[in-house]
Amino acid sequence: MPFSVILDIIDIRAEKTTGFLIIKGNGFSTAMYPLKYEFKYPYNMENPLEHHRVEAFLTVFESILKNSNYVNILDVYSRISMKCSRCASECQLYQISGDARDIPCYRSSILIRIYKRHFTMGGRFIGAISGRAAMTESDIDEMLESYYHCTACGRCSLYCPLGIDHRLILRLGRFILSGMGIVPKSLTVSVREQLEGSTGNTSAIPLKALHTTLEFLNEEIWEIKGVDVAFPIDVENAEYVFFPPVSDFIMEADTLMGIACVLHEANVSWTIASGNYDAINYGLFYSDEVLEKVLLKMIGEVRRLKGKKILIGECGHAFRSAQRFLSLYNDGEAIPVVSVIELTYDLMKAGKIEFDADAVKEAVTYHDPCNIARDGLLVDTPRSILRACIKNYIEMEPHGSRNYCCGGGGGTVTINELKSYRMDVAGKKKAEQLKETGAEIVIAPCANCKKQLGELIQHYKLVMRQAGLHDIIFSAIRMRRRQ
Amino acid sequence: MESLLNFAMGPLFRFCFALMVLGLLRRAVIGLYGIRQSMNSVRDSSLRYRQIFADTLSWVIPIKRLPEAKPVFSAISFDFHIGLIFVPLFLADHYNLWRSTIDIPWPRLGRAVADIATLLTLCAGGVMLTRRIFIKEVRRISDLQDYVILTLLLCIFLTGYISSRPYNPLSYSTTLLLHTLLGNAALALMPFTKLAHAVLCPFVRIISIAAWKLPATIGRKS
Repeated sequence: MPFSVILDIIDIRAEKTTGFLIIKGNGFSTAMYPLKYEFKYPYNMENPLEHHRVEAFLTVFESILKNSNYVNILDVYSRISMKCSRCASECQLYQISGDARDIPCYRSSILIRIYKRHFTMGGRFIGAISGRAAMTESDIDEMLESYYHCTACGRCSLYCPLGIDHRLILRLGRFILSGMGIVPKSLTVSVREQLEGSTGNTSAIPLKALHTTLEFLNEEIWEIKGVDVAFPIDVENAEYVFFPPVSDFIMEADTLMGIACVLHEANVSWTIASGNYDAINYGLFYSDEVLEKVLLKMIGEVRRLKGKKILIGECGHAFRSAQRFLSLYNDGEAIPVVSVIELTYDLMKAGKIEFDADAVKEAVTYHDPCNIARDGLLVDTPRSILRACIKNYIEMEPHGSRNYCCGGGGGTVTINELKSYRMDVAGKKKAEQLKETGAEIVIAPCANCKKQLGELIQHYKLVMRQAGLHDIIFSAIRMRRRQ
Repeated sequence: MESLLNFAMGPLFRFCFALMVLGLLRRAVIGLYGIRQSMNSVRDSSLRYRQIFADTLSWVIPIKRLPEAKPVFSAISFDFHIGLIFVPLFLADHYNLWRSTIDIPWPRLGRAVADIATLLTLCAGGVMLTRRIFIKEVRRISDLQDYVILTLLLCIFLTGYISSRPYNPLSYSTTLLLHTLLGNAALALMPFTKLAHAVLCPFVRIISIAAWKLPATIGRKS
């Protein structure tokens, strides 16, 4: 049965026992192909599709096109791409690697070419009469590698005269690949635990461990600040339901303590939700389906606790995914999404929190996480807070929306197999930029950036340390409210 | 030759011009219809029109944007487009051609200004073509269309410029015929090639933002 008959894919799998690739669609549409190819992948995957990948790719592509809004951009981008190479001169990957596959325009052109050849009348016609090459297995190899080299930072789109958003094409490419099982294992394992696992979060931290961690944080704050700061759990009708990147509970104690101190000092009504305490949403990087499910889970938890607003911790992609996409999936009453950075800034402006600017004496610089800075979401706000907390602030160049990515964006920081690429290529510009500042602390209010920057500092032997924005706030905040 | 030239400047020109207008109009309508369709399929269809418009305008008149990356190349590209838009539209010699097709008052560029603009466009286009051939990062992302379209545009300007010059190696009418035929080809190709960016360019940002509006149950049976 030809693949074009399969309308909505239910399952694609290679059955080694029977020796067939089986693609099941809705109704009776099913296709079977004998297995015969062997491929190698640059990163680990759970059950990668190894046979008839072209057919599978085109089938998934067709299904996604039918049910999404991607057709329009493919149609328009395929006609306006000027290949001027302005993006190449601004892409931190290509500037270091010199590999054409790292040029944003080239990367996007692979998928656009496939779209034109297989999904437009003109492409099919010209392909039929000219014999122009249809999609090949090597196209898939090229995509699965280059689409996970890209950190989805979006810097290229700022410099594109025509406004082509390469992040969209990258997302679509990864989405299609994920539909045929080509996703780095680190992402699928985390997402499965978050959506189906017993712990319900990407780091698999059980609720019991969360309670222990929160007790520990409470004691730490008591020892350092002499104040009993509560970490409320499952409080109903709170103003803010707090969702940090769950990894903060095991890796970023100072960030969480800083946030708790701010909320305590300003007497903010907030709570952590025991049913979901993870804001991480890898769906933003590779799957619209995952993006939706994670957001629905977040909405469900806020509704359960009758919370009023969602408060996202220090995490770039988590804030962007909730802030930009929550309203697309929210059936009921609108739930405002607030970043903890915005809230801290508002509280500071309202005079509800105060800082001791002498508490941190080191030279500090600020790294703009792409997901909150590229579109101008949070650029000046964190800087205003920092300037109130410290005296020795050094701005890195370029900064703000034009800042270089840490080199671990787009979910790549979770892929250990890509670490050498992240260090030697993707993060090299950032390392050079950090070194130039001469700062002793680099602030990055993002769990992904923190991990990548920490590894870069180690790899390039830089004399500095990384910290979160609320780590500095934790050191500088004046705790006046005792209860 | 005379009758061929009359045909190229008369019925053929009108046909190609109509093809261009209708083709580009179709592309614009499809693009706008696509945005509407996208918005119909999502729960939150709010768009920040003012910001999108301001962003788009900053690129349509890109004075501030040019120095941001590759300033020299950007200036050359800008110069190329200035000539490309204004010379065909407002050259005095094209006046009759336009008036015979659309009878509305039409401004005319002085000969000297048009000559300078043409030379600048030729130089800029020459640099762009050379760059596309010799610079690795541009060559790697270029396909056949990128070379053919640019060469076609340069040939139109070149034949137009040398047609009435004493050093023209061909006869005036042969050059003019070539110029007209190539010009007609460019008009006819506009809706079907990358030249469509002439009309699609202002819609790209809003189309991109509309595409970020993801419908629920995306990729699955809706």
